[in-house]
Amino acid sequence: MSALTDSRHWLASALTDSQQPITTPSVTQGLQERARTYLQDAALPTAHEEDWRFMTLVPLLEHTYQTPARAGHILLPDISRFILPEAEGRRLTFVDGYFSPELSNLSELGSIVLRPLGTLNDTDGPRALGSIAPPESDTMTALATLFGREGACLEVPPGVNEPRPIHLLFVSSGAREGVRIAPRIWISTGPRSKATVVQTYVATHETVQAVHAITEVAVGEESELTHIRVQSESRMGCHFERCAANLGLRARYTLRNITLGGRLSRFDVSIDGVETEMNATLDGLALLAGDQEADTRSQLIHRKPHGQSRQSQRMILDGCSHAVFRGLIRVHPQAQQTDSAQSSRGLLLSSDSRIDTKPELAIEADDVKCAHGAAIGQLDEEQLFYLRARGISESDARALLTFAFAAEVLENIPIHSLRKQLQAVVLGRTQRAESKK
Amino acid sequence: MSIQVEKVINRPYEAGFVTPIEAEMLPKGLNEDVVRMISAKKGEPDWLLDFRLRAYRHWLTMTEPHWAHATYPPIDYQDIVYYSAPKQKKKLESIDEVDPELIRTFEKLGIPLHEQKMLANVAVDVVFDSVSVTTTFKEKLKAAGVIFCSFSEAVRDYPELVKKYLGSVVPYTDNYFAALNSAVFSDGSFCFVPRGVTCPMELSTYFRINTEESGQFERTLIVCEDGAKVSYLEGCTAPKFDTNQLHAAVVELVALDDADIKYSTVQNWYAGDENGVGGIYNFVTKRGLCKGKRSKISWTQVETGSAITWKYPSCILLGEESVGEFYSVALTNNCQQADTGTKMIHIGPRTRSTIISKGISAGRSKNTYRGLVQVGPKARQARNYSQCDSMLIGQSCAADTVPYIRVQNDSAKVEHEATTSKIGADQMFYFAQRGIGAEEAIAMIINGFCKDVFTQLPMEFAVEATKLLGLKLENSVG
Amino acid sequence: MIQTNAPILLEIDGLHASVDGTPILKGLSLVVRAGEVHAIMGPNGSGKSTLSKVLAGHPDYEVTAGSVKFLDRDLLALEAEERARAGLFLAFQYPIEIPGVSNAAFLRQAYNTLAVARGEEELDPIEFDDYINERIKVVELPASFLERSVNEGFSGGEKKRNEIVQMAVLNPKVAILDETDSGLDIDALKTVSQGVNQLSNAENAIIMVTHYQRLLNYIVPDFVHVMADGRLIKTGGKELAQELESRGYDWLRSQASTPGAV
Repeated sequence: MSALTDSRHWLASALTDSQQPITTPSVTQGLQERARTYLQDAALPTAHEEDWRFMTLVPLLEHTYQTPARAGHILLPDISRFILPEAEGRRLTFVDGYFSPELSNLSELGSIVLRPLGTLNDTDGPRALGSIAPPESDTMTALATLFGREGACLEVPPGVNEPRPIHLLFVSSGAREGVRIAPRIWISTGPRSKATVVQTYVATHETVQAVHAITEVAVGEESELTHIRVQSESRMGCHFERCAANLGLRARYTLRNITLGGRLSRFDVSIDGVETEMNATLDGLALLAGDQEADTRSQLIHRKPHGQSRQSQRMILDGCSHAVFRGLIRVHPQAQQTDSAQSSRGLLLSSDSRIDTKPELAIEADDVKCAHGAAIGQLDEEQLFYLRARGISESDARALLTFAFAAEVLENIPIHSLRKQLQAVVLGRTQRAESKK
Repeated sequence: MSIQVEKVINRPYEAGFVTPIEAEMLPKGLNEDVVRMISAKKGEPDWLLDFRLRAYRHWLTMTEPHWAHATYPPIDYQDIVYYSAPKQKKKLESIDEVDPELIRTFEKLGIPLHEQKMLANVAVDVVFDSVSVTTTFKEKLKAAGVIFCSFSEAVRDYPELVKKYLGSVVPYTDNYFAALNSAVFSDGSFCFVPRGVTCPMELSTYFRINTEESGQFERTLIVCEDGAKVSYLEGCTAPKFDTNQLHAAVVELVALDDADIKYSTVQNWYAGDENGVGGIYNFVTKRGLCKGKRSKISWTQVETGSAITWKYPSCILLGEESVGEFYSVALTNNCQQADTGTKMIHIGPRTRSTIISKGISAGRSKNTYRGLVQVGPKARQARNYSQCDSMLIGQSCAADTVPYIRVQNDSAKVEHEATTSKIGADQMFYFAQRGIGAEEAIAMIINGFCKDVFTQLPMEFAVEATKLLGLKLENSVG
Repeated sequence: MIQTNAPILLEIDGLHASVDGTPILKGLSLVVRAGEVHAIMGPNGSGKSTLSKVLAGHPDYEVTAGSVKFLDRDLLALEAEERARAGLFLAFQYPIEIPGVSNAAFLRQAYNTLAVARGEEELDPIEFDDYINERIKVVELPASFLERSVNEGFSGGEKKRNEIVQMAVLNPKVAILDETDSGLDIDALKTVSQGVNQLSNAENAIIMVTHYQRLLNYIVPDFVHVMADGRLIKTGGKELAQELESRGYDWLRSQASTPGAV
């Protein structure tokens, strides 16, 4: 079968599966109808499209997937290592796409509103749901919309300042092969509020699965949102996520994105400064090994004057892994005095790993300061020598410097337990990479 | 922009006149017979006709690409004249037999054809519409062992060399416009520098489009054998017509072991008027093959003309330790669109490349840098450094930077940097407060911005290029 | 150096100016004679920097009333570069960075433009090289700074010293130093002040615009003017600056609101 018929066949069977009589939240039913309409004439993306030219969907198409009828059996001890003590009392947990009241703890929400989408009815859901990442954006967004069965809705009321993090935990049980999970996440902050959200995707067992997620973020006027996303799912699975954020007047949004898991993963993020003086920070770290492929595509959009954005992407590759980073900074004609800078750096640890990078500037205003830098290479020989001259073995020195390369992103994660956890993962991987040599 | 910066662009395009000369033209349109007629007119051998026909048939199966950041109405390929040549009574033996009208034309453009009037160290091949009119200093070059002549002559006199290298860097299957060129190319320049020879003078080709309906499809082939060295420059102009002319050239460079080719372009095709009417569509394929060890190919371009520019002079770095360079200034004003950049394909070990690109957009123009740096699995310890800077002048223009970087081995180092800057009102005021007027201030800023590229041009042309940019920018900053 | 019969270089009369329609200067008058050193002090927002920019001809500021005579010419009728060529110099509070343009090229261009305006000979690059190497000693900058782009990557102190080098090269009739002391440590302040003192003579005049008194310890003014709400509300000698330093600006403001107090 050719790749094309393969992909058509896959799509057709996926659309059939989405008609299975499994309840969908009433707030998303309208969006799902729109997605279905859109998908009637749509095809899965191919390498002929600019947005997909560096990555193929083959690992996804090798399997068929089904929305599970129920969640796998997971108990609290199974996920204890994923729990963040700082966020205790503010955790919403999903297992295989289903809300798990037993594994959630919402005892200390204060005035913050955090609910599973399934409990919302048409009138009390966020009115803008589906407007920041509309189903018609592209095929993958439409699919994620259509497949969606559950999700999280987080609303921070105006003026509320919550220093303690809120945790959205998505667990894959791996109980069955070929599970399809499609969470939809809504996060909004009211004017002058402040909050930190951690969104983690974890797996208790390695298995073939497909996750199609949509995260919509509305950062209100003069509010400040720190958003941390960690994807450490099954290394046999596929993960596609569209994350779209709209920034209000003088809103500050920080997104730190860590990619560790997935055979094939794609994170497609857009941050849209629809009002004056947006302030966005976007960090990313992809730590890949084996046959992992991870594609990060970001768009930082400045529409109004006096915006500022900073982006930093780090990639560390081992085995025959493949990382893609495409980062667009777009400055519309009205966005004068924009100050935007992007840097992307890749570290190749093995001869079979590879990186595709496409940093892109599209500037339509003349009074702006925009820069990007991209570098791909190895550890600095001078630094290695310096460490060795201090008595550190070469492999230790390499592990140390590799860890330091990642640490620049991890250091900025404001939650102690999560930071330590991630540092341990990175350290484990960098040492393993060295010991193989 | 607040003040003077709008007052200082738009001196008339000085090369915009038409030469009243009788031309021999094929009727408009393209089919197999036209391809055969072009070949027959030039008395070509069968193998070349064959090459053209294969290219033509392949072209028919292709579709015009539209990924560049440029918008234009569809091109009617049947509305183009594919062969146009000034009528000459007989074959020319010397410059004295060239039509005086043509000599006057080139003198007006600053290209005197009499050897005694020329820059002493530059040999020129002059191409008028579809044919080469004359090549100067041929004898002097021949004495040094360098072959420099029109493409047609090369086919006649050195068929084996042409056969060996034609299409070896840019095969006719490469892209839509390269296929079209391969089918209908009319003339161009050929240069061959044998083993160990350093070409004693700068070589140059001057391209002139004169006929309104004609396209220009020239073909340039430069080969440097082991240890040979050459510096080559091309210049181009066209009259002002309110229709668009298609220019689809192919340039192939081959550098063997230790060879060194420097290729410079000052492109000043007619850009269309301030409303975007007329101008040249400059859709060009330029590629160099660093075939030998330690070979080097360096592209320098100053792009100021054309309604649309779509070109990516590239280097295939095959030989170990070979070096590719790309230095570019692209200036767009009014409604011009430029989508230009380079590809550096690292295949051999320890290959190195440098990219310095400076884009300046003014008026309502759009200026895109698009580049590819690819490091293959065998290109151990390959190095690339790229610097792409954009400058915006005024509020209606746009600058895009689209670099593609692909690294497939762990010993390579690739670095890319890009910035965007402006000529701001505050800078202009600072200059003014020191007594420096708007024109000089802009000239200084632009020169400073482009310095790294201008220093790469042969001396005679660096001055030319600086002047050209100054002319083009007058009245754009304000 | 006050000489009552020295020629008047600059005469500002009832100057009103606004930016984006907001009035900033509201009837400011000042006479500056050759050989004089003036200090204009005032709290933030009093319009000090506006005055500098209006005099230098910044396009963002609109003069709505009043007149300014400079060496008997109507200053307000001149373009910014014509004012500079006539001999008016502004040392910027925030010197502008100009990437790619070397200091040497910039200074030579400026020097030659002014030389032509004054009917003097232009200098070629070699002659200028000798000249400039002499001039940069005024503020103790190394010759290497000439090769660097104008103000790009300069520290705050280097930028301010560079302004004084330009002043030394251009030899103005009236130099306005706009907050030249801001961002300088004490050593840099001394160097810059010494430079200015060397350049000050009986033929020219200096106007210092500053928030603090400390600059005036090094460049001693003949007149100190206090500016508030777009006007000069009090004029005195150098002792006025010390009084301001100890008492602040508020006592003057309350005085000024009493009619006839100035």
